[in-house]
Amino acid sequence: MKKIVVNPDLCTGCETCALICSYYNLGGFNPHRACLTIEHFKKGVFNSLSFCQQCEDAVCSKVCPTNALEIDREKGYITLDKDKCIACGNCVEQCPFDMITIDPDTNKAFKCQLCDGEAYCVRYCPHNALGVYKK
Amino acid sequence: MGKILIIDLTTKSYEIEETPNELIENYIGGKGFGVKLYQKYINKDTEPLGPENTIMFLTGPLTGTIGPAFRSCIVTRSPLTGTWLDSYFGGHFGQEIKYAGYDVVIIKGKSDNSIYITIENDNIEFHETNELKQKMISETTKIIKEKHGKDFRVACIGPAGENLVKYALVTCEPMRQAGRGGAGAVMGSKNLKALAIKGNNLVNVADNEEFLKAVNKAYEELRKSPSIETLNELGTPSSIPFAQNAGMLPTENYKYGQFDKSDQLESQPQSNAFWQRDIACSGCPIACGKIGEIYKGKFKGTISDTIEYETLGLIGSNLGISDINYVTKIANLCDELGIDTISTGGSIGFAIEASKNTNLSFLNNSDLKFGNADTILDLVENIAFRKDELGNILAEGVKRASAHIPESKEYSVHIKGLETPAWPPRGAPGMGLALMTADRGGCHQRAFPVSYEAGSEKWHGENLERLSIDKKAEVVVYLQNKLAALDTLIKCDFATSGISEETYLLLLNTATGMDLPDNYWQELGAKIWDETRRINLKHGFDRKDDYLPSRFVKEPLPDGPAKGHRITQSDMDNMLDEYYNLRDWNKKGVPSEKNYVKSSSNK
Repeated sequence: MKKIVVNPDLCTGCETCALICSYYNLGGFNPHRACLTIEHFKKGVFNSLSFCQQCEDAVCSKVCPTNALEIDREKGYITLDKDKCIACGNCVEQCPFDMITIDPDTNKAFKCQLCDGEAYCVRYCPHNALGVYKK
Repeated sequence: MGKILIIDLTTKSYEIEETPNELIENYIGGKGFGVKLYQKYINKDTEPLGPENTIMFLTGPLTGTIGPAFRSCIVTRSPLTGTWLDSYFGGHFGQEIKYAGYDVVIIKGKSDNSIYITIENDNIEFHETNELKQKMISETTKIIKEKHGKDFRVACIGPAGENLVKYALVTCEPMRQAGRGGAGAVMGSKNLKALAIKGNNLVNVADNEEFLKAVNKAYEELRKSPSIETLNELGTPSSIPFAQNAGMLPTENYKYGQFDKSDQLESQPQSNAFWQRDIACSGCPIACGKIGEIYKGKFKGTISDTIEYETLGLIGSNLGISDINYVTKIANLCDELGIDTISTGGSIGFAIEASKNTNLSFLNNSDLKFGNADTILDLVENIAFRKDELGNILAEGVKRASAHIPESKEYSVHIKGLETPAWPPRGAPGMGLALMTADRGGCHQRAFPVSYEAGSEKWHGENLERLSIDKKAEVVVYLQNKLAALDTLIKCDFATSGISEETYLLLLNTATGMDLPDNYWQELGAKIWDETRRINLKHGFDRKDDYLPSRFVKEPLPDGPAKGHRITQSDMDNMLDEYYNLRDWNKKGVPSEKNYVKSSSNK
């Protein structure tokens, strides 16, 4: 599986990652609507970023009653089929990293799918603080 | 586009209006909106600290997008100068205004008790501030976030704003200040301690694909710019050696242009003292900021971001302090109390010089001298809390303080009541003209011709004669128009040294669907300068107020490469005549009536 990792020493807190994330996935800018979270100055003067861990044995996929969430080992991430999602919230409740939300506009689950493999947050980070980790 | 939120503190009520199309088409956003809304809400007799003054938080059309380095601003009538005031800030607060769905938040009236306001999309609430009274900035921000949630972004005042210090500022989270001109005192006068805002709206652009192309072009220009690289590596303290070599570093109340210990104010000593990593405002790839914790000594543990060039100049060399730990501590205290470091350094420098020249009881303190950092540290607190007679007088700024001290006018350094920045103009007359004509008083951010006079920028392919007044009015008009126009987008000053005018236009056109012509910025800028001039004329400012303080006119510069230079009365008159003429203003500085071309149209 693949996931986004961060070097907090290089993160300037500019939120470019979160901005490009909401733009790619939802068509507009708002870091609160991204599928990654940033807590500025959570650790002294350093920021804390959280990303979907694309778990090997992902609990979200197990609790989904409609199989909208599936582990795709070939692609390397947990895929979300929005057409199947019924917004029951099981995945939101069970995700150990709080990395799935129900998007208020679409009323569907919303999580990181590595921008279909493009990982725009990694590409747009101006200080190369992000990378894709492959196991 | 979005909406305008109008909050009335007197009645604790609010209205939400659509942003009028006409305003967008003719004034774009930011400063442009500011000049129109100022004339709607503030009249010629509005008392800056009276309930009828209005304070506005404005964004631009690119604020909140990924467009590189767009900011926000406050517009109000300044209690320090009595002029129009536009004061800019980066960080994250302005972006959050957009995410809550607004282009502008307007606050009028006065609350009868001390309050703060939370804005979450269309949900606006007024809260008592009992536990926040006279609290420092970081504590205020922390308490509000703990109470309402960490996603709220907070703009607040410190004790200085509550105590109506004339140059109190508004801090916009995190550690970004609308610093100049006393907007914090306006909030204080309204009994408004803070605004906290968050929103979940998406900020959309007109043409997704073309907008991203424009953003990538801007990134490329920033990457290629050597000055941007320097800012990222060394921050604004990199200007210290430049100013020292040019003889333009304010030293001991602007008496000198060089400081013998300037090397201790450069980037490296600061980096050694506390820098740990880079910080950037929302959407900014430059990251000019550095942050960390003082590692050792008396102030160990003090968290600070970069002590910027202006602060190094005004609190460092201008007060004769070279110990970077002390400069950092004093600046940090100013930030926490919520006062502008430029006006604070100007006011204290003035007081120290005054104490040598008079026997007034409130200046009778043998410890009050240049370089005595501990006394200066105490004085900063006395100003913010108006603790003693001297603190109370200095809280009014140099112009008003000077009225208390006989024969002090010759060393009181301000323009229109605004203490001048760390770019004293002896040795750069164009900078003199820029300071003389800046719409909010002595400010270096409306035009910065120093780059042409003492730096390497060329004007139409030619080097300008540094000490001559020739062509300086042309440069100042061009730069003022350009920067005011880009302040409708609310650009970052630093980003303009990388991003071209053409790319700014591309960003605006692709984001809004407008189709603005190539020569647009100069026209828009000239229109805005006419408007701010008319506003200031109504408040009683005219040609008589467009002159430099005596120090720069009568005293030849004693040191540096421009030693012996001063800007004479006739230099100032000649530059002003040429400047007014270029702007089509009459000899008194009154703009002619013009038919502005309707400068924009929607596709």
